[in-house]
Amino acid sequence: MFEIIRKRWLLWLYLLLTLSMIATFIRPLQFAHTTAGIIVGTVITTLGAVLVSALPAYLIAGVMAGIIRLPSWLQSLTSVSVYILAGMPSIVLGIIGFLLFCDTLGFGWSMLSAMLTLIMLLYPTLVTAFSQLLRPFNQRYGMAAKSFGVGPLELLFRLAPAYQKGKIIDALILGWATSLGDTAAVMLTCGAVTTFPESIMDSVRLLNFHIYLLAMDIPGGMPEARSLSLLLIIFLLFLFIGPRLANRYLAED
Amino acid sequence: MKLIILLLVLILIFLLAYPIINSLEFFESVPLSNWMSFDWLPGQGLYGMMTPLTGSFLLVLITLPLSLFIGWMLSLQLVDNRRNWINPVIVGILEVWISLPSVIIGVWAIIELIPAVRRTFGGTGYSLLATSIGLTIFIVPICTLLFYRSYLSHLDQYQGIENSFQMSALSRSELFIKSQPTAVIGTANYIFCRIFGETMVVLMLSGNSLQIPHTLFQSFRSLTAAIALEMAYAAGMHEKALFAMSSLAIVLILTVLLVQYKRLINV
Repeated sequence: MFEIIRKRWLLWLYLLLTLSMIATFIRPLQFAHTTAGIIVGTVITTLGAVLVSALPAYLIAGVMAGIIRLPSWLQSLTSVSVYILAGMPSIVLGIIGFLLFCDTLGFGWSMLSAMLTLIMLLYPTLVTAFSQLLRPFNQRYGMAAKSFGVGPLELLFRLAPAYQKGKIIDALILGWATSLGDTAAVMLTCGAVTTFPESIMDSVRLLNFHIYLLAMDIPGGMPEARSLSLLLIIFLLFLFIGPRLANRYLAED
Repeated sequence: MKLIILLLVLILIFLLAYPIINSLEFFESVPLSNWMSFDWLPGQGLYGMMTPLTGSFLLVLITLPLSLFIGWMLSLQLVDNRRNWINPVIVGILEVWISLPSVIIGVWAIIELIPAVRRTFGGTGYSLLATSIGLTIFIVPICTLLFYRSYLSHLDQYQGIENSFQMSALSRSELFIKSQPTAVIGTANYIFCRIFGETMVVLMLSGNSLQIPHTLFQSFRSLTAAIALEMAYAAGMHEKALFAMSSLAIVLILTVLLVQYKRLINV
């Protein structure tokens, strides 16, 4: 017994810390300031950003996985741009979004500005996730496909999705979770209006920014911030269990 | 196809250069001695960025070794117990924890950590220590998974080396660092960027006093928190100074990333 604890003490400690953290949030739920507009605006903005950024990210992942062949200078430039963007602080992306989308392009504080900012944030995450699933696929089927006269675009957009549906959904869900998790990038671009958005040009308060405002700025808002945090943790847990179930279901198909 | 990809890359480069282009006016009109000073009083024309920058560096100085050490230890235990039931449970928790909004860590820290620091060490509790602990909790899952995946991807090679060097004086960790320097340095680089760039946890726990903390229990303000905090009401040259701050962050992170680019792309 002592030997087992000695070998895994840090893992047990981490498990206990996680459980105690989650236990902090388990209290009676309160929703006095949260409106349907916040929830709907958050879902539309984050899901829209994932779906729009998926296509260019998938294309660039094809380059990084070696399916699309480019001159070496362009290949290097592509990798450098992705890795630099991955390391950028989200508040810097927020500043870029504020300057370019809200100010220069005149979208103002809106769902569209927040969506475009989130696309910048998601792009490196999705490129990395897609290239991790495309690289082994290319190693296994790339040469065989070439000998059958299948071009790189057909391999990328027809064969890879057909064989790796589950993993692609997994990557998209990871992207959605990432976009739900970021606050700094959207707090400068989405605004703080809580009413129901009627168009994509309307300002909306996203859920994570709402939690921040409840915890820091709204007097007596902490119990509600705690309730929303608990719901978000539960939702993210389902989001991560979901693709595994989807993978199993699609594999059985 | 090449044109589309080139266009995508050029758009990215333009986006990163945009804040720098916008802050050129600031750097031209404000002398170097002004913005390199420690006095941040935008109302009086003083734009010293060194106080928040020092706050960010102090935070990195404490959090980076702490996160790397804990992440390293956790990943070693995960590798050792990779056939045990606890492994998938912890890996699953770490994966969810990575995507967890940093505001949730902030909310937890305000409820639990800040009162604990206040009770133990006195003061308000909003301090460099509390921020470092909160940020370490936020960063450790990323760090652990990066190390763990590096271990797994090189496990065969590593196991071989470990077996052949069983009698050597090298420890297991030294062996991994010597065989996989790329993974170790690349992870440290990435974690540096994450800690330097984190905004919400710092904004919620640091207390945001514009001072250089002389002890672990004093409040401070980081560069990213300063941008987030003041952007809401800044105008004119004050706003330009905040753009200049973000340009400073971009240049700093670009330098760190490009110096180790070849190592980083292999992580």
